[in-house]
Amino acid sequence: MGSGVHFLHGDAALLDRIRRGDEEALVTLYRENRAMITGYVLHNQGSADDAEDLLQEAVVILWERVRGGTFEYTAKLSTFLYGTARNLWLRRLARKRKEAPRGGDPDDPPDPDLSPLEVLMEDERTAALASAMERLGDPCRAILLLYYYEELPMEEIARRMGFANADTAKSKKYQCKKALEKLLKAVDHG
Amino acid sequence: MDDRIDHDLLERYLLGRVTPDERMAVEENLRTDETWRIAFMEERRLAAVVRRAGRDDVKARLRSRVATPARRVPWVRAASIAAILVTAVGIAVLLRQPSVMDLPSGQTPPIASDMDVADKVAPAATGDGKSARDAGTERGAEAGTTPAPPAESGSRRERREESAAARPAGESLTREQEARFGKEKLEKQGENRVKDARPGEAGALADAVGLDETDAATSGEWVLATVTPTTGETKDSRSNEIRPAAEAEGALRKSDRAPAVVGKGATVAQAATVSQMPVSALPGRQQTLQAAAPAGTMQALIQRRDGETLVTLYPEIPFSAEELRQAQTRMIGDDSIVVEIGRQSVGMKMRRGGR
Repeated sequence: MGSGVHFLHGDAALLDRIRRGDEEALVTLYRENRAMITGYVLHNQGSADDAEDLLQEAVVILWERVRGGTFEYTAKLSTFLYGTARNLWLRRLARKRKEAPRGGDPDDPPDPDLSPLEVLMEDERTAALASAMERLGDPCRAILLLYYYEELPMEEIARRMGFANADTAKSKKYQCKKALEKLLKAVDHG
Repeated sequence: MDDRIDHDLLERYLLGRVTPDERMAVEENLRTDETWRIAFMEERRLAAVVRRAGRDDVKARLRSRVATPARRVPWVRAASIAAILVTAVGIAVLLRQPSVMDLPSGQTPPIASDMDVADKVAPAATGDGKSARDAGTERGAEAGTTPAPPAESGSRRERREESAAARPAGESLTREQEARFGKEKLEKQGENRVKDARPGEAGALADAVGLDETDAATSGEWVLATVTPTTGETKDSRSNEIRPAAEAEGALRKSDRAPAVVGKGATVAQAATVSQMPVSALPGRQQTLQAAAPAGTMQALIQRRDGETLVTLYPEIPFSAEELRQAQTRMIGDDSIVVEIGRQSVGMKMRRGGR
């Protein structure tokens, strides 16, 4: 019985790179799967631009799941990307057919408990908040991304941002949310 | 932000980082207090917007990465090559052609067209008779760059045409991939049954653990390990102690005895040495068991040599070399081993007590 690191195939190496935060792995995945996804989208009433967007979205979803520790390797990565892109596309097509355009995240279905008016209002609030977020400068933007997107603990955020400790990071995050709130009010009144 | 609300608790609730008691408290507040409900909606909206922004950032970086080398570098390279070729051809033509003064009276020298230039000079440039375009493409490939396909630099219509042409291949590829995945798995299982047959090597152990001799190719004890995701909270950076996820510990511990904590770092003895092997290297029986094993489990082999315990993991997704180096192991009671590796806690309960 030997010891050491052994890789199953190319997928394992790619997953390892993603887990280490190597974004070049995404480029490899993108290039390897481009023809397949483009073929599917063009064959299903989409454009080349739609295909590019879907593939990018699918690749980033894979990135998030692997980084977040929620990815389960049940099929090849190309199969995962194909399935994800297909699901995203079918959802977008269904929305187009219903002719119910809405703002916010195009891939995030509305809360079923909300009335149509509430959905509309929620979309408006989300759009305003997204606009405020765009105006939020660093380091606030970085802190919020590390907390909500990367879901890192405060100790790690403090380390990455060069803060003294987790309490400082927590305090900074609070200040950043206050700053975002101010920007949101400015967007609402502007 | 309403200061009457415990925003920290609400944030942790949304991120799933609350205790059962905290969860109940938050949900009770959400049921009974409108202020909490509004704060919850705001917090959820913020989390969604920031996540969207994070995803867009990664997408933007991906876009810039895939656009730059594919579109610019080959064009610059091709232009440089073309310029060199045109210059070389110009010189060659001048050298080969008689000068105007040498020509008979009234005759003008022939002029080489661009097409002539490429056709005539490329073989000389590559030495193997390939066209100038081929030569440029190959050089790009040699340099590790992807030459620009027509679709990249062409119009949207061109891209559509190219993609349409590639469509049948793309679709059949998917089906092939899926079919091949299953086929490869079966083939590997068959191969391993033959490969791992080493009669007489571990017969006694095979009997003891209920495996046949072929499967117990390596002396040791096969166990089905429980894999539990861990969080940052399980490690105490100050004391350098490791505290495995409560779920893994609870599943393994037979008594209320406090587990022996092993310190972090190379200077402190570990309960076992960890290595890993691909699933495809599993002996036949173990492969079959793995195929039927529930999610969140992996095969592991525990061996004892000269008083040292060796644990070989067979993860579906291999751990990185760094994770393997930093893996921490410890005993729980006298019959279980926990390996903290990467973001996972792998718990193994041995069939017989003692090490």
